[in-house]
Amino acid sequence: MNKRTTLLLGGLAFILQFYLTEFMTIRSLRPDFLLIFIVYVSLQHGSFAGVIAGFSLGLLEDLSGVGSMFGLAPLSKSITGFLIGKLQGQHSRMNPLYFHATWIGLILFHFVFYIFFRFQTLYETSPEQFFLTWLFSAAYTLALMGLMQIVKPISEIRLID
Amino acid sequence: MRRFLGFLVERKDYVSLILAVIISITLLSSDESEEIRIIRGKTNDVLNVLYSPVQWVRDINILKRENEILKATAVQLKLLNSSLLNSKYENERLREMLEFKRERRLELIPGRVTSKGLSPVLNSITIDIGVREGIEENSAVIGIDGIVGKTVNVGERSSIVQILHDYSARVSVKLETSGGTGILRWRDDDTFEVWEIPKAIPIQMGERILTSGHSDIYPENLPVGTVTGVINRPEMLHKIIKAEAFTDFSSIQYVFVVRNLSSE
Repeated sequence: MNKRTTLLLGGLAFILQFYLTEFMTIRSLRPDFLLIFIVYVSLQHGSFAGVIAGFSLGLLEDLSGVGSMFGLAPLSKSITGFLIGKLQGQHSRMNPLYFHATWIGLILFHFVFYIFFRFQTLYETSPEQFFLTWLFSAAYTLALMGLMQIVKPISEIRLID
Repeated sequence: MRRFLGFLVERKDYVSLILAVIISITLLSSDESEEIRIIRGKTNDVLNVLYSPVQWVRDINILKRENEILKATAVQLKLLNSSLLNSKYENERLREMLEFKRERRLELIPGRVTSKGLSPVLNSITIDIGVREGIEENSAVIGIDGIVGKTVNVGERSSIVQILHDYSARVSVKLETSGGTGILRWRDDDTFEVWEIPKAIPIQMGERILTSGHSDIYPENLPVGTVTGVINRPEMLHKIIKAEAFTDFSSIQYVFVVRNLSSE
């Protein structure tokens, strides 16, 4: 996947997020196609590309309309891109179980971070409900990530620096 | 200097992360700044055009359903109208008797929802009216069923509306029959909470919640939702009411922006 293909796929992820999220909204929560793209970019190109993709797509996400906290998406997505980028090339070195658990854990962390800011009120009044909201929002994106494994398994990502 | 630049290039992932974090935090803290508002407004105007195909598909899908609903609503409104006319005449007579001359007027500008943002959590909508139609920031936005939110960013031809689902959205509300006032905020899904309700106020299930009017944004008596539950623990100083909003935020298509409130 060269730079041009990566840019095209980034554009595709944005288009999917732009046009499909409304139809895929469940209980005010939507899947995060942009995050899925960032995970793939980070694993293939490393942390630097992860940060760039995370920041630019996060910024685009916020520019497309947020009620408050403008800047939260670039912050959370660039951190996630950086951390997942550290797993670049680790699939062959690490125990596969640990490798997959790590990137899934990082996606869960991303959603803890994001949902904590967006659902502060819920965290204060009903931690159980907050936990369920976090779990559902992360599971929604992870389910799509699971589907992506049929198209392009993470284990088959070739390292490009 | 060369060694320093070499170090930066070698550690470009860390450098880029630090820069990204600094810029993001700056954006978060300057959310209200004029430059950011202008950029958001301009971007939104462009994205609004890109969203038109989705709008077209959505319109076809909902047109039939909407037509049926409108027919049913028209019949109900006709029935309601006759009783409201009676109430109006009665109200006018009573106002005259009380010499109550102050009258509040709402100027409503209709708008169409064009986008619901890209964020993984629904917290804003974009509407197809902006400065050209006289929309200003911090104007109340209402739907047919009740309040929707307020404008937070106004572009030339579009505006971003912070809906009640946003974590920072707050509305001063009152209970229609028991008269208690409190602050409404979103909890999750379609559930809202009204805080700061005095313990002595008797709450009825299903009671309507309206805007209190103690706000520069939301006019008085706009329908908000109904009471679905009460949290009243001994250790709490106030009651918390659980509520359901009248507005269905997931299917909202048209809204009205309250341009100004005038008193005569």
